[in-house]
Amino acid sequence: MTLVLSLGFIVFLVANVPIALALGGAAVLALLWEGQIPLLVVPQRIFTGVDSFPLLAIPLFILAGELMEHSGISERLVRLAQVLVGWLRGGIGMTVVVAEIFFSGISGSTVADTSALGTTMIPAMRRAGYSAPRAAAIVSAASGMGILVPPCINMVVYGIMAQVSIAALFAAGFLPAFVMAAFLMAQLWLQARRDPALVVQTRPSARDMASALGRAVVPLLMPVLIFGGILSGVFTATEAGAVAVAYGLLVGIVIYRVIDGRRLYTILLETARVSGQIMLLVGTASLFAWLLSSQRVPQELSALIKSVTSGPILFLLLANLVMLVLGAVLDGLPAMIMLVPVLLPMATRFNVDPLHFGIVLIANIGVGLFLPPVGLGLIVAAAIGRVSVTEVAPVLFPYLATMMATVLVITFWPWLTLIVPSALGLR
Amino acid sequence: MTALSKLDAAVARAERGVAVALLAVTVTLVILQVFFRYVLNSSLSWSEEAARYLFIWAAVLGFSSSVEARRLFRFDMVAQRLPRAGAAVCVALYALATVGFLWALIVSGGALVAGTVSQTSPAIRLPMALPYAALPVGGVLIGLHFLASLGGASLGGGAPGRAPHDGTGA
Repeated sequence: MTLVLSLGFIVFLVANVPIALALGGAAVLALLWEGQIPLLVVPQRIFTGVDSFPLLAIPLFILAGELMEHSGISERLVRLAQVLVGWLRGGIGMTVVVAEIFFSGISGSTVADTSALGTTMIPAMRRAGYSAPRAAAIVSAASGMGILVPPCINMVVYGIMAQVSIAALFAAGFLPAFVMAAFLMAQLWLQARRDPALVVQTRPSARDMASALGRAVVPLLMPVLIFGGILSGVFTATEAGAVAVAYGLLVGIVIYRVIDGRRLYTILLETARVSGQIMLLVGTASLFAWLLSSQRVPQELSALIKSVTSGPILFLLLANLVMLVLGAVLDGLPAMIMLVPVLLPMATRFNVDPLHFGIVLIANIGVGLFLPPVGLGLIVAAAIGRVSVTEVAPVLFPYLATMMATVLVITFWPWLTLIVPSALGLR
Repeated sequence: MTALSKLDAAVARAERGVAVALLAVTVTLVILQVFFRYVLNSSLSWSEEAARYLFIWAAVLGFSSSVEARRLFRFDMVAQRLPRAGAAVCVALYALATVGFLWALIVSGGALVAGTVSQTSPAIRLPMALPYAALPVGGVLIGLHFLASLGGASLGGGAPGRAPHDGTGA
C-alpha cells in the first residue's frame, strides 16, 4: 500500500496533476488497492483536517495583506526604509531588506511581498544605476528572508499540522529573520565597498525623516496591533487576523478611500481561491499523513537514518536538503504541507523540538522559493525586472550562499529560535 | 458554446458569488467575536462554530473556482517538455486521479452526509450533515469544471502550469 501511495503520488505529480488532486487521488488508489480500510476515511480525514478555528487565520491574514496592498502602502514603507538605511554605503540594497521586514510584518505571503517590493524597488535601483539582474537578485534575497518575519501563512499551517502554538512560531521567527537580514545587509555593505558603482548616498534631512515616519504610521500600526496582541498573550493568531482585517478595512475604505465595492469583491474572491487551495491541500495532506502513519512509514525512515548515525545531525542535513529542493520545485507552501507528515514524526524521534523544526523548515522553504532555475519567487522577481532567470542567477548566488549559511546557523543553534518564545512564556 | 460549457460558466459565476458572500460572513463573524469578547466582555457562544463551518464551505467553493479558472498549484516542469503522446498520458493520469478522488468525495462523502443527518453540532445544534455536505457538493462542482475543461481546449497545454502570481507561494 505504501508503494501505491507514494508511487501514485509521484507519478500524478510529474504528470502535472494539481497537487491537492494528486494527494487525494493517490490516497484513494492506495485504499482501493489495500481493500481493508473503507473509503469513508477520505471525507472524514479531510473534514477533520480542515475543521479548525486556528485555520481561519489563513484567509484573515491573506485578506488583511491584500487590503493593505491595495491601499498603496508599498511606497510609504519603502520611503521609511530609505530614510532609515538608504544613506549608508550600499544603502539602496539595504532599503530593500528593511522594507521587506516591514512588508512581511503586514502580509503573510512571500510571493506577494516579492511582487509588491519588486514593483517599487527594482525601478528605483535601476534609476540609481544598478543593473536589472542585481536589482532582481536583491529583491529575491530580501523576500526569501522575509518568510521568517511573522505573520506568515506557512507558520499558521505548520502550527496546525504539528500542533505547535502559532503565537510561539510567530515569536520564534523574529530573531532568525533579523540575523539573516543583518548578514544580507553586511554583504551589501561589503559589496559596495569593493565596487564604487554600488555606492549611492544621499543623506536625508531631519525633515525628510519626520515626514517619512509620519506617512508610515498608518501602515505600521497594523503589525503593532498584530504582534502587540499576540505576543502579550491577549489574542490568538486568528483573533489577531480578525483585528488586522478590521484595521485593513478601516484603512482602505475610510482613511485612504481607495477600496470600493467592486475592488472588495475581487479581493475577497482572490482570498477565497487561495485559501480554498490551501485548505484542500491541508485536508488531503492530513489524509495522506494518516495513511503514512498507519503504515509506520516515518518510523521506518527514521530507523533507516538511525542505522547510519544516531545523532540528529545527518537527519537535519538531509531534511534541509529535501526541504530546500522541494520548496523550489513545489512553490513553497505545498512542499511544506507535504513534508510535515513525513519529516515531523522523524524530527521528534531525533529529539528535535517541533517549534525549532518548524522554523528550520520555513527558512528552507523561503530560500527554496528563490532557488534557480525554478523557484517561483525568483521567477516573479525576474519577470518584474524584465530579465531572465539565467541572468539573475549568477548575481543571486552570493546572496543565496549567505542565506543558506544562515539556515545552517538556525538549524544547528536552536537557542536562536527558541529564546524569544521562551522569554515571552509562549512555550 | 456547447450546453456543457454554458452550464459550466453559469455554475462558475454562482460559485464565485457564493464563495465571496460566505467568506465575507465568516470574516464578519470572527471580527464580531473579537469585538464581543474584548470590547463588550461577553463572548459569543456560537460564532466560532458557525465561522468554522461557513469557512469550510467558502474554501471548497474557492477551490472549485480555482479549478475552473485553471489556477492550481502544480508541478509542470516535466510535463511541459513532453511530446504529444506524453501529454496524452498526462491527461489520462489527471483524469484517473481526479475521477478516483472525486468518486470518494461524492460517494463516501454522500454516505457521510446521510449518516450524520440526526447528529447535531455542540454549540449551534446544526445537523452535522450540513457542513459535511460541502465535500460531496464540492466533488460534483469540481467534476463539472473538469468535464467542461476536457471538452474545451487541451487540458495540459491550455492550463497555466503554475498558479500565476496571486500571493499563493507562501
